[in-house]
Amino acid sequence: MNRLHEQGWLARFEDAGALLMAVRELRGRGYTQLEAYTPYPVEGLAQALGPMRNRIPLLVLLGGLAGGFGTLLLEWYASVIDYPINVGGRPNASWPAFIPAALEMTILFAAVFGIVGMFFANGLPRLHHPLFDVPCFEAASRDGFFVWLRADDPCFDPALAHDDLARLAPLAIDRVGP
Amino acid sequence: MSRRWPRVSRGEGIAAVIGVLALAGCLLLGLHAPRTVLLSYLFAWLFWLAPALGSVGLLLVHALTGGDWGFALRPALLAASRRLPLMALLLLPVLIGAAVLFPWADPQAADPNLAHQRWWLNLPFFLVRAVVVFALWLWLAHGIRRRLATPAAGRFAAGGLILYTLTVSVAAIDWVASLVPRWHSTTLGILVGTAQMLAAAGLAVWISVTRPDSGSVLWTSRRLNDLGSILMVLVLAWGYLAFMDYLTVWIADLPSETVWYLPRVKSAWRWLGAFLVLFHLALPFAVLLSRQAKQRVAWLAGVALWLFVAQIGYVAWLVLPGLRAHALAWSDPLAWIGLGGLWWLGYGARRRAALELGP
Repeated sequence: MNRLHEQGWLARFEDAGALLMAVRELRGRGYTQLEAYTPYPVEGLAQALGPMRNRIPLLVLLGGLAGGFGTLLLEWYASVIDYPINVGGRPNASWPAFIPAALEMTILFAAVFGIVGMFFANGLPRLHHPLFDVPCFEAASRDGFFVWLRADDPCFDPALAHDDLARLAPLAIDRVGP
Repeated sequence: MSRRWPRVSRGEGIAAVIGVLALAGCLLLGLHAPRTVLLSYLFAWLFWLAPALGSVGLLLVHALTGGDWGFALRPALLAASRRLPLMALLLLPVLIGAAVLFPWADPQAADPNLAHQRWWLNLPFFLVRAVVVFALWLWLAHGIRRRLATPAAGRFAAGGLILYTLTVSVAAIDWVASLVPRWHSTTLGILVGTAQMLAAAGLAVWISVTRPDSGSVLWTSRRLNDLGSILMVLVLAWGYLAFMDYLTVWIADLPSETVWYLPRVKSAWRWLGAFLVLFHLALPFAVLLSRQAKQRVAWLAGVALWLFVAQIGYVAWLVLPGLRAHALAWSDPLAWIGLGGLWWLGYGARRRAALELGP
């Protein structure tokens, strides 16, 4: 039962306009767990699909903070506790001089956290998905415009959802998952 | 281009009258303590120069790089760039009072370091530089306005920006650095230039986004986001340059460089420095980091206006510390209000005229 988010109906549409209309129609009927696949970015599609939960910005922020404050801590530890050296009578904890390195590490950590986080959010370690079993799904990178109605949607009922999709006059409807 | 005198709104008229009254107050105070008042006047003048001159810089940058942000801000930037002749006129009190205001102009100055700076820091050459610099700025402003929609704009802007950087550096050395003749800084020119662009962008974003008459421009969330990013870039550039200047001085620890920072960080002025770091860098940075904040008119306009107003603090930081016994004088706000009142006169009409002209 917990595989519901990998099941549902995949409908193929003629072109971007038809797909966009279908997505708006389905959203109007109360479906929220929709995914769309197109060969090129379709303007307005992301808005039509509705608000998406995206934790990457938070991850980037945390990475930046960890990198920045971690570097400050490291610099302070190295020059005050571990190996204090008198440089021209300046204080061991030379905060102004610590900042450039901390800034660089902030940017580095934010970028690395963002990219690695994006890979994980895209489910990267995994190389297969039930969608790939659907015949003709590879057309999504050529001329196919698909919308996937996921089975974990609160309004999802296999027969009703199929009817709802069929009413939108798609080119084909296929079952995703077992 | 119409040569008609721009129509002035009632608010602007009131502002101008208050401005003239405030400047009259400055004049009265100036009879009593000319040096203090002239310093206030220089501070206020530098503040109000920023949106006018920075707008020319932004127009040049946009002519070179293009982008939607520039078209959205163009009416406000064009209107602000038309304040330059007024600012040139208002520089006169500084030029007349230069002998009183600048420490190097005092022939009895006992500083032995001044002797080999005399070739640059002398009154006739100072006046010539002021005239030349303003002539070039007015020419740049006029040139970019005339070429905006033509293919020649890019080439003019490329050369113009080089000239702009050099002239702003000369201006910053003459009107800011020469207040402390022994001091030198390689960053000051570009730092002041960046701060001016920041002030210009802050004012332009605030005005453009909030005025209902700019309804011809559609404020999509994408466009608002771009404007927020422009502000973010300028805040970061300003913060980076200001910090680098401080860092190199702190590390080198040489008398000729610390002479400028000592009155700023070893007296009560350090609180102004802390204010700038927290509220002119950290707070706007944190707000502009958020996409939600950037894409909301109220937040974006608030940050933009705040950055413009916070420039008061930065210009005060540049000019005031260490040059008079008391930290602040009554003439500071008076001069600021006075110049500001005159600055606004006709600004709105100019902007509306530029709006009707279209991109």
